[in-house]
Amino acid sequence: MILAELVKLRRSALWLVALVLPVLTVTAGALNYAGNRSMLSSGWAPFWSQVVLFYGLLFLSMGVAVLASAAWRMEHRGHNWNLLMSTPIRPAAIVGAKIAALALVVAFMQLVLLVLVAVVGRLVLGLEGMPPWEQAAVAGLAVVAATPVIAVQSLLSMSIRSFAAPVALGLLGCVAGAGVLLGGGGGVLSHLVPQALVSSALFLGNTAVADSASLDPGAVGTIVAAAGALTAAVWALSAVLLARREMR
Amino acid sequence: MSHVITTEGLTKTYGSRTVVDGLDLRVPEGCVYGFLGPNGSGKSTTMKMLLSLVRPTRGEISVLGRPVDHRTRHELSPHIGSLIEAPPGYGHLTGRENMAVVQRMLGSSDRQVARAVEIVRLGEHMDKRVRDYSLGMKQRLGIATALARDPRLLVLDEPTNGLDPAGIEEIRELLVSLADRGITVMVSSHLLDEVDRMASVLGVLGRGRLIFQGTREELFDRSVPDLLVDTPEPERALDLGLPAVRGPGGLRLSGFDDAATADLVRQLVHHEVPVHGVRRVRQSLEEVFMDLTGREGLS
Ligand SMILES: Nc1ncnc2c1ncn2[C@@H]1O[C@H](COP(=O)(O)OP(=O)(O)OP(=O)(O)O)[C@@H](O)[C@H]1O
Ligand SMILES: [Mg+2]
Repeated sequence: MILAELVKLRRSALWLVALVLPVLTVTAGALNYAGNRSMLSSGWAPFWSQVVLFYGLLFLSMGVAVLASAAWRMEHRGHNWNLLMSTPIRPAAIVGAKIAALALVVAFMQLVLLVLVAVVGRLVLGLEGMPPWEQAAVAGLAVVAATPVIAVQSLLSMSIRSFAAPVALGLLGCVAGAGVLLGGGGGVLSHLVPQALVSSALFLGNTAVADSASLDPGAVGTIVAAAGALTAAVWALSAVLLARREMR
Repeated sequence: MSHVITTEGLTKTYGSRTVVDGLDLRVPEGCVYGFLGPNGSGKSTTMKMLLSLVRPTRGEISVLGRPVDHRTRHELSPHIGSLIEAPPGYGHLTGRENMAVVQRMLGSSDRQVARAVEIVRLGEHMDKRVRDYSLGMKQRLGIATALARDPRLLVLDEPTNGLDPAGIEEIRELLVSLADRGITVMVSSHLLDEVDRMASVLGVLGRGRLIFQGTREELFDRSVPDLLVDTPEPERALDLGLPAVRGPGGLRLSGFDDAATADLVRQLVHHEVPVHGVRRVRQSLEEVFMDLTGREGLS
């Protein structure tokens, strides 16, 4: 089934989203960094912190929401649901393949982000050397941390035919996530709200965000475990709902 | 005769509206079964229930000897090719890529896919994007999708919708040839004309009820064509209070079976109305269909 999903991604608009979002993010980050040179120390770390600030709080999760809506719109359009549901594929595999395909696109988006940070940092901002490996590690970890958001947005977009409504709900999630994080509620709650988990992962080892954890095995382990548990729960729920679904 | 599809009291209710009402379908193996009914009579809903895309409110379904529900869907689906309401397809992909998606979902072989494409004669359009397909090409792709699993049963909802006469003829020949190979084909339409020459068994729906099921000949027998009475003095006959209207050569009367006709003639003769001839209107199958669905269905 995952192979079928990969074919569907060919020439799809999802790749465009995965390209445009990092461009916007890095542009905004670079402008912020350049505009605040007097206040920020120079170097890769301050630049990175400007990049991930809005990316972690908003852009990545909203990007996932748009990607999920676009991915399910293919099925809502025409009568592809009828096709999907008259094959021997089980609902869990249908939903799982969608989540996996979206995770792949998000991984590509993270890769674009890293490349853009390196290129813009060196060529535009004139930073020395290459970005530290920690930034690549954080970007990679963010793919894992983003799977619960992927699963939740996928569930919403699967259930709701509208493109915009699940995206709007995703925005609410971001607001809740930011509230949990910045309100210092932290701890368990910040690992239960999917959007907050994304932020926590991207802010690891980040000096600009006050109470972000350092990039150590403990913090990483907790994030991975939380992501795994949340994703599994939402995946299972999606499969049950899909099995009961009536086709229009 | 063994049946590939049987239903008992199949019923679907949306809210307080019963859109499919107590169907007892019998689809014999290896036939083309024409499933007819006007718009909104419940054809698509019935077919979705047969494929367990929609859950029946009441009633039993058995397909290929197995009960149908969402648990048996994945066991039955390898044997049932279907096309419901409109041809599916991913517009941003080419025909070939669409078939690749289907192949991967069904686990079909390259040979099965190639044969399905060949049967619907879509070969030369396989590298075009589906969003640029004509409706006829989309229908063909949809049918190829249904065929790509070597099905024992095809459930096709208005597969000739939007096709030109040549396209309809092509699909007709295709379905008949598939039935000749032993594949049972259930095909719906709201136009009798379209299924007339391919279907050997007909089921006619009107407002969710099965108002006829049987062969074409039995359908003719079922309906009572209008009666024409040739008389030079139709006014006198009308004065007798007969439920008649003026027709060619005299009078036209509806709903008179053989016994009622004998009574009528006796009455006319008794009142000394000159009768030059009594005959029945010749009906086309389409008129028979309109008669049935109009009388018991929509009225
Ligand atoms: N999901 C649904 N919710 C409510 N009503 C529905 C639903 N699906 C179908 N209906 C109603 O059921 C009736 C039968 O619809 P159906 O699509 O089965 O008819 P049909 O015979 O296929 O018609 P057509 O020839 O127009 O395709 C219609 O009146 C339709 O409005
Ligand atoms: Mg229909």
